[in-house]
Amino acid sequence: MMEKTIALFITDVLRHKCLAAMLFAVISLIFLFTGTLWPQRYSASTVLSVDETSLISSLGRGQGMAGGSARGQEAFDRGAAAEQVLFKREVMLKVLEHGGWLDDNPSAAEQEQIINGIEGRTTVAGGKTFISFAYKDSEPERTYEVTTKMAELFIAEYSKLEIAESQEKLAFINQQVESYRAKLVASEKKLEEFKSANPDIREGSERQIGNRIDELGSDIDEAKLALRELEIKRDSLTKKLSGELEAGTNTQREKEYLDKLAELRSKLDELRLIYTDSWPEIISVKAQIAELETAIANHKLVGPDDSTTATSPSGDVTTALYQELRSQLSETETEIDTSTTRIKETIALRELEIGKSRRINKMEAVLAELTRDYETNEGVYDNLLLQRENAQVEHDEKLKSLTLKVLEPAVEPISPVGVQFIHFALGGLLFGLAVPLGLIYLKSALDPRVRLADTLMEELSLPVLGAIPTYMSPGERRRDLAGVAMMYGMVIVTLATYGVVGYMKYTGEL
Amino acid sequence: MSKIVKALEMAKEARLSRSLQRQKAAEEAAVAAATAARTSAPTAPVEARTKAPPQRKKPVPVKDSLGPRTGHDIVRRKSSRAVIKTMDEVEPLSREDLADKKIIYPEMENQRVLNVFRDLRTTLLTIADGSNFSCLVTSAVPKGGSSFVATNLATAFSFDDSKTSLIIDCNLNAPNPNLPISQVKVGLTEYLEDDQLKAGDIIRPTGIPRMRAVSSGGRREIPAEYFSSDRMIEFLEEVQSKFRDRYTFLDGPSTKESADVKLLASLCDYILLVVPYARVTTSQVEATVRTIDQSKLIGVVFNNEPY
Repeated sequence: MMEKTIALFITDVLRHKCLAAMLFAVISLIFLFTGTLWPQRYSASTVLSVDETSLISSLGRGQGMAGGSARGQEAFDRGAAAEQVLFKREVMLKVLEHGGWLDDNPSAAEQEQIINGIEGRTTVAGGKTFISFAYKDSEPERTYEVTTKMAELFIAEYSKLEIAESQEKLAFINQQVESYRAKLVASEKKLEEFKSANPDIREGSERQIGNRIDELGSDIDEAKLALRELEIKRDSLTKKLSGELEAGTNTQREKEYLDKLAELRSKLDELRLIYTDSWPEIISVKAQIAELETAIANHKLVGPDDSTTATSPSGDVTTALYQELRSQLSETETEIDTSTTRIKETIALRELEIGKSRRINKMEAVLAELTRDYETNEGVYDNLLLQRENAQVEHDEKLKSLTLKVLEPAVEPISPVGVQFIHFALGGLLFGLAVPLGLIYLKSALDPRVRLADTLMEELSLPVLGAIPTYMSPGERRRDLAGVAMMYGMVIVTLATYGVVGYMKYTGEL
Repeated sequence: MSKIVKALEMAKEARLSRSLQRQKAAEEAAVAAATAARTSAPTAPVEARTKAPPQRKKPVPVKDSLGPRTGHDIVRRKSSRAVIKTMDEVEPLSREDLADKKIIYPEMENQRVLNVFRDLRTTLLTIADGSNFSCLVTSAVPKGGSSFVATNLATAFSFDDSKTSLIIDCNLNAPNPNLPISQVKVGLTEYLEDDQLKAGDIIRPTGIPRMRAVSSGGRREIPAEYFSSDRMIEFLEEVQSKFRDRYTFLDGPSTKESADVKLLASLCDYILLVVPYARVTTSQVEATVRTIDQSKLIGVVFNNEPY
């Protein structure tokens, strides 16, 4: 079966020999021709190492510049960012100059074209710790020159960028520091003003006032109690005193009576000395004495008479106890007066304090805010001062050293890269063979028509009585042979051309 | 395979009945001819070959271990050869002519082709079991090589000097240009139109010994239904029954070209289908097979095999 298939294939090819040969010739020669014209490409590359902490490491990451964190993404294309730096017009013009493209004085449009061409032939790639430039050109020397120049220019540009950015950062921080300082001063002033306007308002004065109010309150309560005591004392004293007075008055009256009695008796005596007992004065005096004695006797039985106490003080009827009590009473009364006044004053004071406390409450909120304000500003300001210091240090560092180093310098390429003549030549032969054969194979594979007698037997169960081989008349055979001749001819011509061109290439003529 | 066996069996039966009929007819004709011969001079053209052996010589049943039929064949062959030698022939075609017409000849270099046709002949003879037959050669597609196969098959049959062959070009629309016919004046269409013509008028010699050909005749503008006419049927009957050793081949059009194939098929004993290399799909072959009478289809010939 396999031999039959191969035999079938070969016969198919031979049936289409002219077409196959033509295709072979055409394809091979096209490839050959293209190969001779194909420009040789040389490639050179250089690698720069990137310092992680530098600006460029944050290039593309969206940091380093204030407000840049709006991008805030971790995934970054360092290569693209580097490309942007390199492919700026000024930079590329310098490259053009160095590479000798400007020698013919091309127009602006032409320059643009050349630049586009160079950009197309340049590959910029970036990773975490490196940036690489690769450039392809048709001349080895120019390739090398352009690559090195690009690296140089890139480093220069990049340094400029770095420094500029650093300066910007510094300026920004300075500006922030200034603004916050102003804020701080303003809030300090406000605080001072407030404090001077409200001197009694201090930290914890509310508490103080509260305490005071409580104190005063307790004072008042105490004083009130004392007052009550005093009043009670007074009352009791008064009572005692009036009793004493009564007693005193009674005693006084008694005394008066007795005095009077004594008087009368003395009088009597006197009278009696002069007169006799029948004298009317003596009788009246006797009657008076008798009355008085009765009155004294009654008085002693009955007791003091209150209605008569009111009028007693003027009588100057005093006993020692009475005096004592009287002094105590006046003392007590004085004390009561003092106390009352004191209480009144204390109450007034308390009211004052309460008023103060209300006022203070209001002011305390304001004070707290001002204080907070001030403290915040102070904090930020301190922070900014720190940042400024850091930025300054960084900036100074940057000015001193570069953060890009050439890891791998470019090397002048010796051999071309990419597709070369030999590839075309071999590829041409291969394709030239493969395409016609492939097409023929495809045609016969896809052709559903019957090619094998077995097919008829198997699929249709028809008896195949015989298979007549191809039998050509002499005329047909002549044509066939002509076709074969042409096929061979074309193949030979193609191979000959290959040989000639190959030889010429080898010797360097082409 | 069983289909084939069945078909072969049916064909065999039909064949036997027909051959018996033909034998009978042949005898009658022989008798008639004998009487005619006695009365008139045998000046008839090529058809002057006289009767079948039974008239001349009573066939002696040779008791043969191979069987009665074979013995019969040997007897018949012997006698046919003698008769056939008397056939009228024209100048034989040269080898160049034959090569140009793509007709085989025994001395050709491409023995392979020659042997294929010889094998085909043997197969047909085996199927036919010795008696003569008429075979329609048709193709699945136009220019599929049916004329080539038919002509060469007839030629192969003519190699045997005890047999003669007749090729009838029934392809009215596309007559075979390589038909090795000479002295052609009229063909099949003329014969079918004109009742006056006789079979002998259209059966012409080729340059090949023992082979006769009938051309298709002139092209007609409006192709009428020729093959369904009684005249055609009679013609074929006559042609076959006249000589027991004449093998008739009808070079028919492809099933695609015309519907005559079916008609022709009904007139023949066998049908041979020619399938050209890489020109038909199996479905086309299938369709063709369905159109023609399957009982008469004895097989397929694969033509133009390139390896």
